[in-house]
Amino acid sequence: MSREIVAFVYREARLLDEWRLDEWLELFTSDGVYWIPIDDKSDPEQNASIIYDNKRRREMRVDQLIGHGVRASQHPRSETIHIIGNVEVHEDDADRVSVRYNAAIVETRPGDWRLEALGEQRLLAARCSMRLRRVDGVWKIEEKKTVLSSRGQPLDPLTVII
Amino acid sequence: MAREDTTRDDVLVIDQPAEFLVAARAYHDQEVYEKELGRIFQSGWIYLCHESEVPSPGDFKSTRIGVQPILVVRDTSGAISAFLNACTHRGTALCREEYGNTKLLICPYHAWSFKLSGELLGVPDSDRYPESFGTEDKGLVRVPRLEHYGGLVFGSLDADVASLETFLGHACKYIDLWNARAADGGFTVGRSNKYSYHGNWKFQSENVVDGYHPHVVHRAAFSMMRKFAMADAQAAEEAKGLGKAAPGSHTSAFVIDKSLEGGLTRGLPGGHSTLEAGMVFESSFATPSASKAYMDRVVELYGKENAASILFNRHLLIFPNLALMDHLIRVWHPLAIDRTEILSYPLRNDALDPKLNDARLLDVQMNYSPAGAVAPDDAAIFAAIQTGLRSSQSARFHLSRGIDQEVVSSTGERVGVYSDEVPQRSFWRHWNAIMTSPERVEIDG
Repeated sequence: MSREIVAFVYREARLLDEWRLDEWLELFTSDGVYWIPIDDKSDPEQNASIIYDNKRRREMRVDQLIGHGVRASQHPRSETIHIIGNVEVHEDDADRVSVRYNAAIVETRPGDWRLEALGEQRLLAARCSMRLRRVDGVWKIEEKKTVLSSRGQPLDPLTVII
Repeated sequence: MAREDTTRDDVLVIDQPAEFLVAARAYHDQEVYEKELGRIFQSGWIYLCHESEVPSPGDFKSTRIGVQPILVVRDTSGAISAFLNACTHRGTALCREEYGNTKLLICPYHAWSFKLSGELLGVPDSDRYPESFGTEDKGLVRVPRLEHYGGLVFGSLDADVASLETFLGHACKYIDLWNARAADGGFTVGRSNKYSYHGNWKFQSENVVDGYHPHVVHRAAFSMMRKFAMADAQAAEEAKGLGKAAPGSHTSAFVIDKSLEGGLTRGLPGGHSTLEAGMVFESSFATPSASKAYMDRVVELYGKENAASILFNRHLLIFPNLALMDHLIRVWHPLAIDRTEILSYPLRNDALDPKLNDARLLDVQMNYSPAGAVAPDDAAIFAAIQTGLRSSQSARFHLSRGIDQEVVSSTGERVGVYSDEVPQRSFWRHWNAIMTSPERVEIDG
């Protein structure tokens, strides 16, 4: 099963890197949550996070990126490369798995490099985890948590989905 | 007014009846920036924190005045003080955290220790200092003036500055309206969302009260919000004739016509201003029933006529770097001439339905996080301005929108429509008065 889960993790990252965002949305359960915390020990219902998205907010996020023409912070679109390692899979039971992994996400702002904030590259590093649940035989994400090592400080615009 | 010589390079702001110009140098000249750090950030009042950020004795918060690191402390008497975050021995920053609680402030270099009142308490191995080496004059350097208004704490590095209320002037009335939104309770400030941008700090001061750009820069955001609002049963609701509640912080989204009926811009003496949509604002995640219950309570407390002013969407800019907005406080600091950070603090209200608080937190996060739907696109524009500034030393920018149609009151308030550049002219007039005056600037009106 471990190989299957690792393949899932790689595929989730590849869908994001390839901007296949509608397919990415399908990876989540209907009650699934995507959390990029500022403080992962505090309650995201009551304290600010970078992202704390339920299904609807994920859909809003994707829709704003691909459904309504350009937005300035993604014009041109960021290119991301996820590099994943240190994967640890824990099987809770036949239909529930949790997986932890590290990710280095290289984000490149392409376009005219002579303009401020374009032609730049940054490295975001995160300890990630997912809780997966098998729904009709298919693994889905119940919770994806991305704990960025830079979460405590001001970040330049981060509007590409990581 | 005598016509300014518009060819002179040292004239940065040109304020004429039919034309208002700001030189590009005002944004990207290092000498001007250094002068700003001295004049703009050291002469007036600068926002330090909300009282709720340091609620108990021993609580501290690190912030800045300009680029100077400042420590705000609530001491054992319950009073709030502010100091330069620097040991008086050899300059080491004492505090390395954004928030915390402590009994003493101890320098990590040689362990000199200070009381919360700023007094130097202890110098290790002090017998190696001469007899004449006193401790009384080596307390932490205090921010000489600190005053509160409406729960907001401001400091000034100018010991002789006029009172905070004098500085705020007409803005006091709008701070009061903002506080009235708390109904039976008071505001508590939550952890901030933080982002940064490649650009001068003044871009943000101009942008937060700019009603001309939202339908362009935030088109995708508003288009998306409209789509989801219409699809969702939680959309607008009439409430006692106050009009529809419109989701989203820049409510011009919901009006196609840019000359928004009922919306306006207001320029106040002293560099402050407002951007007002003339519509009620509520979080797009609030349920209609929670929203209605809240509005009913405001009407009950203040009466229907006053309730409209309280509930209507309003961005209030307090010169130079503070905005009070619906459900949040925003403050921005220069990091360098072309680098700025913005902190957006969501407001909780202890008297409110907790679900409404949660909904409002979500709204702030949705829009003002570095991953938000609204703020990052302004940041991208600011980077583009910073690029354009490289073009020419003598370029001037136009802030003349609505200049000949302002309605000027006897108290000095100037009013224009939502998309007019009234707020920006107010900002730059005051900026220019400070920067060009050899004396302290008195606020008229």
